[in-house]
Amino acid sequence: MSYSNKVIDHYNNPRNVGSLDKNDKEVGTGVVGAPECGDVMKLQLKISGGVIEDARFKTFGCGSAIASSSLATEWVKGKTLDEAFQIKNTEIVNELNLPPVKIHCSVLAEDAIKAAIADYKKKNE
Amino acid sequence: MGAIQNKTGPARGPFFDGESVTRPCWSCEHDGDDLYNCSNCDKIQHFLKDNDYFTWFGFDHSLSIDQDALEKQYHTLSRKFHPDYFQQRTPEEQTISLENTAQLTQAYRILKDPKKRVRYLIGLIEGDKPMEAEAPAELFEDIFEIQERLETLENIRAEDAGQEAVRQELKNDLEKMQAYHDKEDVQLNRLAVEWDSLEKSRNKPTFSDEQKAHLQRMKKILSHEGYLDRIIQNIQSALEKNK
Repeated sequence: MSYSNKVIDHYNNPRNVGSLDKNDKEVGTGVVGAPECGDVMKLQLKISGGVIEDARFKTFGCGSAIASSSLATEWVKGKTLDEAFQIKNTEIVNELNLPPVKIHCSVLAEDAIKAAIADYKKKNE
Repeated sequence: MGAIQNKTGPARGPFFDGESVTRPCWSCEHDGDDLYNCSNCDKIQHFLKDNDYFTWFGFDHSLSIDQDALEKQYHTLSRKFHPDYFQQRTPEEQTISLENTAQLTQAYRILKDPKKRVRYLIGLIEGDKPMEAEAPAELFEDIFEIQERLETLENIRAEDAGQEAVRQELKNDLEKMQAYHDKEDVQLNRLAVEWDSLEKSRNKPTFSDEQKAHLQRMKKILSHEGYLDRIIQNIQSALEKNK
């Protein structure tokens, strides 16, 4: 199996790596993992006025998992929570040309976005 | 604790479908379900394909096994099949004695080890073995933090301030993962005991839904333990390496 150029690009130049203050009320944090491979992903969103201003991620896993989460942080920026919630893993699969065995990496990224949004909403109830 | 199905002789026939499976003797073509020798001509036979390791040893499918009985039966059967005794026999008999000896040793190794025994039973009944390693979902946050600390420890020099703090955190992580592993083990043992009592009271040829549910739960635990073993080993070797 070989990685697509887009995966390699994200792997070599991951966007938005790092972390935000998880105690900040405007920050939602999602930590998710894939039971089968043990990959873990943390995705954080900084949300202001219902819009995602900033996003950070850190992923311990394979190239596809890193690329999926890197791409997810790029896509969510500037989106409203509702829009971000609509992002589907299949869009990530298409964008990165992920092979079938790596589809679960894109699922992880989608789950991470949803988990981060849920965390933000819970904090701001 | 021990679970020998039949004290006077080994269990016969296949276990699961309740139908008796026979094979014709390769030598005299007598149709029989004898485990080790043809009841007609007494020639050594291959193990019945539809039988399994438990049956070969004369056990039922309980997870607790009488270790003494296992050893004893292993030695009895080893002597029975030992290739030395077949040197003057036909090539067919020599081949069977070799193959049976190899299979017997494999079966003994699996049955002797409680964890391997459970994995084998699951594979036997479910058709596939537990995954080698599957992370418990509730631990992902811990796992993420452990990975971060392992990375930090890798990048920090021994003389740097902070190394000791990371080491201490990882030691705490190690304890936490080991405690989780122990908890899973307790659960596994409880399920195994329950399995045995269900197995003893089983009066149908097929396994009950409740038994199958137990197998599924044991399967999950074994996969989790596989993952925990790996992460425990990673922490241990990182602590060892970055002293």
